[in-house]
Amino acid sequence: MIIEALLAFTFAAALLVFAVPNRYAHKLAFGLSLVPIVGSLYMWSAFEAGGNALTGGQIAFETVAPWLEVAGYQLQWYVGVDGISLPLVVLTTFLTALAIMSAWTPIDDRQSQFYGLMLLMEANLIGVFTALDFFLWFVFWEAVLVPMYFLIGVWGGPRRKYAAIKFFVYTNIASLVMFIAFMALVFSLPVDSFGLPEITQSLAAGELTAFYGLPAETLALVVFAAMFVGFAVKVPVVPVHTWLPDAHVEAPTPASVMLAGVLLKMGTYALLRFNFTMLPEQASAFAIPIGIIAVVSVIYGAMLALAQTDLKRIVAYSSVSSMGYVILGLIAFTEFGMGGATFQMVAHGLISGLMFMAVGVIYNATHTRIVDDMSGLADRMPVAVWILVAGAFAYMGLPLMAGFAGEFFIFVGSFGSTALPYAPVFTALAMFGIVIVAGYLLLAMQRTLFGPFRLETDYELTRAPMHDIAPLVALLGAIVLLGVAPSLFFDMILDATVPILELGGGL
Amino acid sequence: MSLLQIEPTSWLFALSSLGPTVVLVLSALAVLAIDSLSPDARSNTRLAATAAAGTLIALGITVWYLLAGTGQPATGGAISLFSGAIVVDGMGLFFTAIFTSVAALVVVASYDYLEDDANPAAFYSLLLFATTAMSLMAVANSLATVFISLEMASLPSYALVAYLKTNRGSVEAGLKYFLIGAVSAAVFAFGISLVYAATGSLLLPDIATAIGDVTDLAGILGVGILMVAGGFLFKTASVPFHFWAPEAYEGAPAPVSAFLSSASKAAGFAVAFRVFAEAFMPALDVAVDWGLLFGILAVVTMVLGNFAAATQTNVKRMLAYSSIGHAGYALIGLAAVTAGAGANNATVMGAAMAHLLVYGFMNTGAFLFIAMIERWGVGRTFEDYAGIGRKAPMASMAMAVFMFSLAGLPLFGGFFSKYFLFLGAINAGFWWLAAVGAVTSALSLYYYSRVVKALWLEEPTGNLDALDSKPTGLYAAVIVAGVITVLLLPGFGPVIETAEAAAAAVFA
Amino acid sequence: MSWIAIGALALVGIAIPLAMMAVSALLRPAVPEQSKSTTYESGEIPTGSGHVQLNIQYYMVALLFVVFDIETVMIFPWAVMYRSALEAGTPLSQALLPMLIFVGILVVGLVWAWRIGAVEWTTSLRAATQKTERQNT
Repeated sequence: MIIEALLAFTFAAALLVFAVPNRYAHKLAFGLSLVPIVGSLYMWSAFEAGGNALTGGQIAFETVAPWLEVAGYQLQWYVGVDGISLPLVVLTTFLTALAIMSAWTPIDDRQSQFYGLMLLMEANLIGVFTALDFFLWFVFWEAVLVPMYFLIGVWGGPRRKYAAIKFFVYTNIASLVMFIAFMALVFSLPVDSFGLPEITQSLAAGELTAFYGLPAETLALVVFAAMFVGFAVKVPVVPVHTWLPDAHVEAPTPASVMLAGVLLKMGTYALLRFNFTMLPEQASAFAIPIGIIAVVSVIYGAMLALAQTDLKRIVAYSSVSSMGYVILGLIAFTEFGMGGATFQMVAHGLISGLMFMAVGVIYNATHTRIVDDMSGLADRMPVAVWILVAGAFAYMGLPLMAGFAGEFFIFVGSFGSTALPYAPVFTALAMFGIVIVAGYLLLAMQRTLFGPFRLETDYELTRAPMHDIAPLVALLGAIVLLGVAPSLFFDMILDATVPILELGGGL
Repeated sequence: MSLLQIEPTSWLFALSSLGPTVVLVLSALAVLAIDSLSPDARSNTRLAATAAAGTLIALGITVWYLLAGTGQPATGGAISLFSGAIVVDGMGLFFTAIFTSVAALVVVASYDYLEDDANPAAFYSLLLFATTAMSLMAVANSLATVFISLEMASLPSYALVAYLKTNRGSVEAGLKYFLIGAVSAAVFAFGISLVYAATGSLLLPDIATAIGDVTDLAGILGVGILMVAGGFLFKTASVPFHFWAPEAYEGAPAPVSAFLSSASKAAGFAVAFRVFAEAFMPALDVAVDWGLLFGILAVVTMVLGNFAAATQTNVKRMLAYSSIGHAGYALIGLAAVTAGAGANNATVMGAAMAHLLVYGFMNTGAFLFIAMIERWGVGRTFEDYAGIGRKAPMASMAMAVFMFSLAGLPLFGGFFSKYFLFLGAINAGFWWLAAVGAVTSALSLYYYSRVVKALWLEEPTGNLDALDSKPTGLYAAVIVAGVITVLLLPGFGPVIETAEAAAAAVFA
Repeated sequence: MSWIAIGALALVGIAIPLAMMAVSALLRPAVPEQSKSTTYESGEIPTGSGHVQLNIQYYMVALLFVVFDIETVMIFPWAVMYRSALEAGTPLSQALLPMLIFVGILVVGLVWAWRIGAVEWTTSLRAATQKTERQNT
């Protein structure tokens, strides 16, 4: 019942924050957002399940209740967590609270609506990561879009309308494609519910039948491809990434934090849950194209970042690059590859959250994000700058930070992959991406933060206030903690990802 | 057989079976009586309260009957009254629930809309009489009662559309609506006469049994069925009898548009579903494949409604076209019907009924939001709506809910009703209907989201000071409709189960 | 097959008048003259506008009349049946009550129309002035 309590509390908190006057909204929202953290940490401490929720492993905090029946299929309220979803739930609650805290300075208009939407999004994100019935999951999945659409569209920058609509259209079309594909899959299976475990196990047992004259093997390939496209938009990978920089640049800082930190992980989480767990054979059939997509995302995303002059755009494109690693880890189909990819989801969530937040703090002070407009900020706002530098190093994969652990696991896993042909080549190419990351981050840091002080805008530069710095420190702490002790999450992640490999026939 | 030899229906039994209808007619008469007692007093509050109480009591009785299983197989099947001219069953009660809920919302909203009106009694009584007639349409089991109740519903509607006597648009809309309505009523009556000529009966079950023996009169029967279908297409604003809809919905006072596009449309479908499912099923093989006809019309209606809506600049007109598009979705309920496939037929028709119920709330809410804008006098186009979310967040949020629900985003009731409808069509073998429906739904997100964009994302262009006044009744109606639209997602189970059971009983 | 006959009949029915008009148009001499196009050929020369506005209240009265006219249609067969129905043992609640309810509903409507002044013949100020103007000229 803890998941229901968590969801109910967050929804109720969102409604409450909508109703209060603007001047109380921030403090109230922050206070309320601490409660889900406690809840998710309790879940973490009480978590005892093992195995993957979909392949028949133990499901923690599981509840099932019938919802409604459609054409012989039972729709359920079916929630629970396993080693893959629990870290993401913790990430969601943690990052939301910090994002709300960081909204103090940038959000000066319609606060109660802003924080209400943030909490509403948190509730739906928790729903996405805990739902185990397809329809329930899909409702939460789509319900995340709407708050984000408003967050970008109402509180965003100058081109916010364009960015919000692009985001909305891209992700909605992607959802439609994925939805239709998944329906075709389910209707060709002898199942009587939309429960994801039941569907997975039925697929694993080879019970897929032909669909409207389409043979089962072809159907599985088509469905895999359609679902991959649908989720790839969300991740995003090259070439369907173009909504991301627009959305990030226009979004207000807290929304960027949520977008990069959690919303992108919805895509990789769904890829892992649906494509790679349900259809592993099809995944290995598509291994080379997916590997190419992953490596191209890494390299091309990094190259694009190198060409940017807007700090936020740099971080946004580097997210595309980092998500490429995750895809590479997933397609490797090895213990460390999949585990590392899942771990990297959490790690990247924290690191990119930190980066966006730090850029936001600098923007609050300078009112510009253009690299050429400033230099030598380190003297004037030392704490914020050093945290930004630390975040950049985490991004580059400095050992003892979470980014290192994630990327290291992925490379170890993908190098020895048998599912992915030419795995060493792919891995080497992807590793080259790290060099570019280091290049552009160091270049940007050096030009903006160090050297003689110069600022092209008419603002008095002051030290960042405490309420801006506090969430940065908290995030940095979490990154170091996970870097030093990755096993906090990695053990449970491995517990849940290894069964996927066994299901895939020991690839 | 002389009329006198028929066993007369017990009045008390008939009145209690037709409880919702009786309550509606009594409240309409009460409105007139109250106004007759003091015609010069400002009695808007009293009249609105009477009308609202009447619709809500009728709704309560309907829901009670539905829950108690009145007229459903569990308690002995449909209740036949007045020699079979009227039959109270699950389908009739289900549709009555739609009409009464929409009427209640519209009455509550009209309280503010008619604040400055000289004589609101006419409005409320016309509305209530139309609702009464719709509740009769839902239970009419003979082509004669169908025709009379349909006309009884149409005549007050014409007057309601033209209610703003001094507004050119309203009067023009009323006239157009009346002329097209008169033509289609004539076509409809002629169709009934042809059906009677071929089968020798007006009672729906008798027609069904007689169709097997029509032999050489099959052509007459076929023409008659087509003409009867024309009458329904008018009432539901479907292609090719949809021309009145954009004009009427745009010109009419917005609460009336809400009422017509939700309740009146549903009433048309109520009677069409019953007539075609009960009387004309055997004609599929004998006279005319009306299933195919409705299939083609459904496709054309969906495409035309949605594409035309996408090109509008006036929000009310956009909603009018979208309402035509939704008539196309509901037509799938008739189009996917095939002879001898009882279970599939009931599933898809039940889904169409559930869609009409969800539509009743989301579309009524959307038009009532427009009524609120009209009352504020902000303007009619998308540009005029810019920035309203800043001044009126609650109502704008409800409008966003309606728009996303109409588009079928999987957050609100509109998603499940469309999903079940398309799924029913696929299961019945009509995948092309579902495909067109899905594509046009995806398109519809474009124009529905334009409203949301204008309300929330744009900066205000004009002066929005008028928004400081908060019309209580309109707000209450819009927000109640919004809350129900949201709740219909988790609570869709009982709705679809009731609808499918009711449809199954009709096909049995 | 019988449909072909009907179709042929329809075709002939349309063709004959069209043919007659076409033939006469070919045969007759064309003599354009202005008096042919006046409203009343070889009659009065029209004066003033043909656009006559009737007082709206005529329609109100006419509507009420139609309502009670139709009512008669309903009452007549009932009156014819009434006696024999009673003799056949139909209780009053079946024979008389429905008609009372029917008339009662109409009475409520009539009373309301009366009370809001639909049958009161109010004089229009503008119409009165126009009338005096016409009489003076």
